[in-house]
Amino acid sequence: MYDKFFENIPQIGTLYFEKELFSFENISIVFVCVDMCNNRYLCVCDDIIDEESWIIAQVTNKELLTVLNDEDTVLSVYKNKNVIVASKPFGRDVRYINIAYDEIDQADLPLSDQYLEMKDYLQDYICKIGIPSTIRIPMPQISFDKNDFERYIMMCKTTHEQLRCSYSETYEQSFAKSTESVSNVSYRAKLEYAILESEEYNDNISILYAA
Amino acid sequence: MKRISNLADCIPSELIEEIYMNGKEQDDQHVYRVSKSGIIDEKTFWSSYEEFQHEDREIKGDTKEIGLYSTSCYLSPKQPKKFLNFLKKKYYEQYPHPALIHGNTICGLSQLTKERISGYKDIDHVDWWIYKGNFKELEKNFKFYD
Repeated sequence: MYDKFFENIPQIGTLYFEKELFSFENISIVFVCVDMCNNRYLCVCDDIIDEESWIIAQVTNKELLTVLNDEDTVLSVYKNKNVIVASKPFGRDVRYINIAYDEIDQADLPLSDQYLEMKDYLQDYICKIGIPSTIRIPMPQISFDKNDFERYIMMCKTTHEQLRCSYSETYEQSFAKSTESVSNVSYRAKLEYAILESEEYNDNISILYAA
Repeated sequence: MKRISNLADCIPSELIEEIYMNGKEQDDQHVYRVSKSGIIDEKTFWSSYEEFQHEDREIKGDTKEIGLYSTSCYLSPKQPKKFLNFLKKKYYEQYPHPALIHGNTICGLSQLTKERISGYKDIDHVDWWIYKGNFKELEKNFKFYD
């Protein structure tokens, strides 16, 4: 498990420090955190002078790869998103504000839309997030709708807090097409078992809907 | 025989020998450093450890690693400039504010960090352990970088 970095973020909870992308003088300036569901968040430290502060936004692996590969700037992934602004006056607790990126005062944003320019040193991480681990779960002879399944996953998360999983886009699309509800209890048990078995995959678990 | 150290008093005694073993006097080595205040004074040359202490920040990093007690600088302006680019625009609206300065690693010992830590990402990062009582010399030597 990664170290806690941000705690008690409204609607998100705890974020765990996954990877430092750029540091300066022992301070993590650009880094990635993950939540309990293994969603990734790009974090930029934009102040260590008056106070410590960061801008944080959830990112997809695809968005993150564009930054890691210098295909786009670091700030590009924040645009048109709601972001968390975390600020910590020295010696005090962190405060969080949820705000649309476009509504942040320009003076409070980084000076420049800088490229990361660290890909030569981050190849292992680039490979790690570019090739998701997958777990194939045998498909039962029933179909069920996406909402019902997501409720079930949430129940699993509540019961087993260490479980961290994410859905692949393929999976989401498959369930969007389904209409029936889950009714097979034994399948639920089987699915729960499969997910718990998957905890050995610490990173980027995608549950695929195998036909 | 125990060495008489000219290094900063905040450095743990058990690390002094290691610093002397690793660092060399390199007065002609040209480096770049960020002055967070935009002023060149004694505080500009505080070590990372001293900055954490004075700014009341939690110490990040291994307290047994000698680099923590050094003044960080770089052989090229690229990394410090990148750092400045991530700071808020408002810091640049009035003088003095974060600035890049440059000069030589005089009055102390220095070492390219990657020589000590294999795989260190910042290939031109230099650890500089400045001797006590030399800040006036440093203030004269260092200039603002445009």
